[in-house]
Amino acid sequence: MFVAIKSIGFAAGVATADRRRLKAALAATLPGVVTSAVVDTMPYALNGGEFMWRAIFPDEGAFHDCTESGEWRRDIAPLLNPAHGVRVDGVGYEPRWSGVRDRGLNDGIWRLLLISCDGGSTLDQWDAMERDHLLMPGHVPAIRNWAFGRVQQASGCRRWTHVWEQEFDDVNGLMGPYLHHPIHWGLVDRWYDVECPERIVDPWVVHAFGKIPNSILTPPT
Amino acid sequence: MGTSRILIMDEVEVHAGSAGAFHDAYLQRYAPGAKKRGMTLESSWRTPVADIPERPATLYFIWSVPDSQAWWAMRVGTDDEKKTWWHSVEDLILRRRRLFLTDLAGEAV
Repeated sequence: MFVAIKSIGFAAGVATADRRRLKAALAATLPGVVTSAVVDTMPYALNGGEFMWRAIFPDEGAFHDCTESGEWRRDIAPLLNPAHGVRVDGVGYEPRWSGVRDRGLNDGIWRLLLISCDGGSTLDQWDAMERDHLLMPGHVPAIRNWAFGRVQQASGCRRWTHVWEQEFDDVNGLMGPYLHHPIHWGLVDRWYDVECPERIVDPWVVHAFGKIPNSILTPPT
Repeated sequence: MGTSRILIMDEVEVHAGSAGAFHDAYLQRYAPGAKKRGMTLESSWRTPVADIPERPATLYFIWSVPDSQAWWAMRVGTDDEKKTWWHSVEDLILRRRRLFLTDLAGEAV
């Protein structure tokens, strides 16, 4: 399973019609896509855009074929051109770790975090950072479904190295039990905090979330 | 989450002869910003217990915030100011840690 994600924002001058066209084109059934979703980015995101696209492909090759397809070249690629005021932070990855608590999640929240580890950070540091993140699903039941892994393809304002996604019943799950769990602020955050010697994550992250009618992280059965 | 008081401890081992300089810098150039971010300096300690300029010393500064809301309030923002501060004293420091601590359950604060 290969997951492609794009967080898409626009400069003020980009026409509403172009934004809608891009959104509609990404929401359409594209070649090779197993499932996909377009999610409006809610307020209080950090470096988030206007909406996000998440698509599951059978493998990386299928994603590559999709972006080489006539549909993509005709309907999507021109509208993703940064020269036209579009800002895209994109990743492609195979979730190395994931968990499902609620496959039937309804009217929930999907949260996306894109992070970039420093160029000089070591694999041992990555392992330790990942282990700390992986404690969270077990200790925070508000995380209903989740996926985490290292990035294989990255684009945008940083060389993204990791994707950390979660689904919650509602935004309170994200802002309450997740944000305020001691493992989060007392352990995981050290990797992000410029005051902690352990820090390896660039403080510039994409933290964005939006409403979803049903789970988009759980792969189809 | 019902988190009570959170303690933030800076444990800083400084080069021989640098304890006084670091202590002064910390109190004069770091503490005012930390207090503005809602942190309260609870106490500070040193070891060895006597000033021995020929040897490294470890200084401990314990701060507190009342809860996790206040923890995030002191954590978010002012990254540049914080980075500038720690970078400015790098030459004085051998190694350091920042630890987060909570009171043991049932222990009166």
